[in-house]
Amino acid sequence: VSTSEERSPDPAAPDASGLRRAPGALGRFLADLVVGSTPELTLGVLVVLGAALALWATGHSGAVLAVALPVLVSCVLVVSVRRAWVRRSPG
Amino acid sequence: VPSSDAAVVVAVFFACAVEAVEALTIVVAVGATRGWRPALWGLAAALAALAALVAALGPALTRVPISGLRVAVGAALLLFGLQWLRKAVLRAGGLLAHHDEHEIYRRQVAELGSAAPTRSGPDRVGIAVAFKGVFLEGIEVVIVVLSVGASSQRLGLAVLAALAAILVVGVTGLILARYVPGLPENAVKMTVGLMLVSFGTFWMGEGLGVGWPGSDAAVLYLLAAYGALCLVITRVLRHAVAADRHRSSSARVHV
Repeated sequence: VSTSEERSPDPAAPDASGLRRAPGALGRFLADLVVGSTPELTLGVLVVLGAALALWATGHSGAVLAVALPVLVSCVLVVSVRRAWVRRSPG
Repeated sequence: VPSSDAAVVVAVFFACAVEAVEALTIVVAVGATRGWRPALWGLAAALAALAALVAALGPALTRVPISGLRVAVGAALLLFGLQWLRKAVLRAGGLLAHHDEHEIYRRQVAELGSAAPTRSGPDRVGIAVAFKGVFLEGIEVVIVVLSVGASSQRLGLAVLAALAAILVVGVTGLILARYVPGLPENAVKMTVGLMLVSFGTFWMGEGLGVGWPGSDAAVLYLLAAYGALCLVITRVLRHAVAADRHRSSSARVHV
């Protein structure tokens, strides 16, 4: 999630070249919104979605999926926090 | 009021309130440095653009088959919810500095103060900064409103909850004249993250045909389970951070 502190607005006035750069800027904004500084969360959610669809396709859409979904989501959160801990700045 | 309706209102209200505080900080910074006219023009233009997005995408979403929509929305809510939750847990655990609206305000004022003043006509710099601040913060709210509203088939209720949050934060901001520092922001962010992740799990399951025990009440026990997990992670992280700082300071003493 990008916050205002990470996207400091450029106070320059908009001009024609600014309009030409708009699609690229929009793409970067969307990529920042979805991936940001946590690609492991995006990847993790894709893995959860893939696993859930695989279970559903093999007929496990009942109790198995009801247990597997929260467990997988919890694993994604734990892995992401663990990654932040490993990459922490020293001291 | 059904519990699922209350959950929709709470999730959207708090998600919107947190983003509205951040947007209000930028608008007030523009108002204080460039004048209130460009700040309010930027604010109005951004709110109009966000409202147009909801009006355009909201009805379209209601035409998508509900099962597929719930799986897609579940994935989106999981992504945003996990991002919020991760940040809130890292802050609560002491690994990340707390969000500082005072610092954002100070930086924004410094940036705007250094921009050249407009000689004639409307202040394009002020309008653009206010517009960008509100629009960027608002995009996430629009996604939450559309996702939660369309999946629960309570789009009107979700929009009303978002408007109520904007009104409450806006009026409070006007009364306090500068901005709204009083919200326990990290606790609110963690609550919203927990709700988005719970809704995301619930709807992804619903879309794939999971018959959750207790039906809609599943959101509540998912919320409790994720809440317990976050408490455990936060506690472990606090201990680890404290031990790490102790080790670092001991090492410095020995050097």
